[in-house]
Amino acid sequence: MVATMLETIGLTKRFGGLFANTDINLVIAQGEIRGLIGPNGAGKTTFINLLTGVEEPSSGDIQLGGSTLLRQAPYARARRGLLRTFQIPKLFRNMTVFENLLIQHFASGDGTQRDARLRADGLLDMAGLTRLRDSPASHLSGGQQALLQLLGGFMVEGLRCYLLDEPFAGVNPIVKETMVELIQRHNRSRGITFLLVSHEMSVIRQLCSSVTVLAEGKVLIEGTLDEVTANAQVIDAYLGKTWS
Amino acid sequence: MLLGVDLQLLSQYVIAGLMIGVLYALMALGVTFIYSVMKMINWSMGQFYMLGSFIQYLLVVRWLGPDLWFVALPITAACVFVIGAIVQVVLIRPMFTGGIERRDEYATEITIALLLLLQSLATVLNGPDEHTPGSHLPNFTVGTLPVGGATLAASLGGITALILFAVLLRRTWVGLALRAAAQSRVAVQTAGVDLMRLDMIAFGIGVALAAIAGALLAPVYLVYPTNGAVTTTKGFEIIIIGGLGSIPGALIGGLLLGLAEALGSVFIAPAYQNAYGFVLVIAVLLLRPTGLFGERLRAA
Repeated sequence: MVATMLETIGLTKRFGGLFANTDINLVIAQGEIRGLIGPNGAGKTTFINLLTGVEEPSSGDIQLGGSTLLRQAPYARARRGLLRTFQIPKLFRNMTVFENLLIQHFASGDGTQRDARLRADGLLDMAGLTRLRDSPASHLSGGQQALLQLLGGFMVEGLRCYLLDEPFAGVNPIVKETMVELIQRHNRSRGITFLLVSHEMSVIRQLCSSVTVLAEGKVLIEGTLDEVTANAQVIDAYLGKTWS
Repeated sequence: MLLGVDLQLLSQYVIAGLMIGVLYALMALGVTFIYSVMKMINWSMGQFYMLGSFIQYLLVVRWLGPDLWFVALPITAACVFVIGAIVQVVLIRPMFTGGIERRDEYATEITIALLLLLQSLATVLNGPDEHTPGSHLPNFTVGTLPVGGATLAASLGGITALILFAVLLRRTWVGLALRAAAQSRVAVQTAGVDLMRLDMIAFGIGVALAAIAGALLAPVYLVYPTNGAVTTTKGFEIIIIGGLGSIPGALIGGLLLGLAEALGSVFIAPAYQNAYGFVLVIAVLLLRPTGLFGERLRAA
């Protein structure tokens, strides 16, 4: 039996009368790469915001490695090894590419500053961004920004679970391939758990052994990508009922 | 001779204007720095200038003597940093943690209340009397223009403070976090930075900058409970000129204000010294409403 890395129990978020997330029960095993798909407005980003403490849930619990994350500040969750990326990359645009990685050192807690510098240079080299090291992050293309954001989490020594919110949106195929390789490498070598929100079914198929489908704030179905895409409810959720 | 004005005389006034401009920049920098990190305006900045001038005065008069003003200066800055950090923890932090949405308005109310509290407290404790810590520094002449030794020392002290501030922001880890927080308060937290603690440091540094200006100008502009009012006015003039939240804007704006006052005094009349800044403010608002370095605010 593989240990559970991330678990939500009855997680619910209301905005006034709108239920953005309703009773979400999700169990992700350690070292798993879980896909999270669903039509726009299904509540995927809200779910990640709840996990990382950007928003507090109305009810329910979130557990990382068996202990709760509730009422912990976002920085404390990051220091416990739960990192994320944003759908629209939130880079520090006036700072250099290198500094954008260094800032992640704060999530490492301990570890020397020299380690952080070496690590940042190592990651830039691995991702082929070394020549842009001292450029402002605002000079990067959309794809390079997404790549830099992904590298940020890998800076953190204690990274355990990495939540990626649409990391491939608007990214060209070559950079996308680099990103997929990075995810696979860190999954295999460091045993890092991923939750991958994406509309890119080919990448989901490549990376995720199982997929959770969210629609209208609820978990619709869980299974392999082939199982869920064959499901009539899922087709309805994506395309509307008239198609079935 | 140009337009009937002696060029040598003009250059002397330019130098005098830039010297005082450095201290104006220091007054504005605290407001703009706190805004850039915390996205709130501290309206009580002038009272931290006043606190700085009083602490410097007490240190110099009671213990150190006028010759050791430069020893008193870092002590003053450290004291006001601590006071600022306590103010942030007790009065300002609750606005950022609870479920209160209109935090800008609360920040305005709290800091204006603090302005009145500190000013009244100083009046109760000190009375309306004016003091000076005195200065033994010899006077200089720039060309034929006499410059007070204390004014020159204040200007050099201000430049030193600005350099140290730049080093802090550019070369240290906390500086990296401060610069990052100025760009995204959400992303800096999900990167593992304890933002409430960072806010405490930012607020402490911001008010300490005003206090350094107050301490440096104590022998020049005197020490009394309402001496922060001029700082508040000039600080916000500079922020309109330079653009809210822009550090280069505060520096350039401070120097421009110093220049405008000095040149206005030569070409028009010294009696209206405090009015020339407003002319500059109106000119900037007409030509570039966001300030020289300001960015248009984006909604949401």
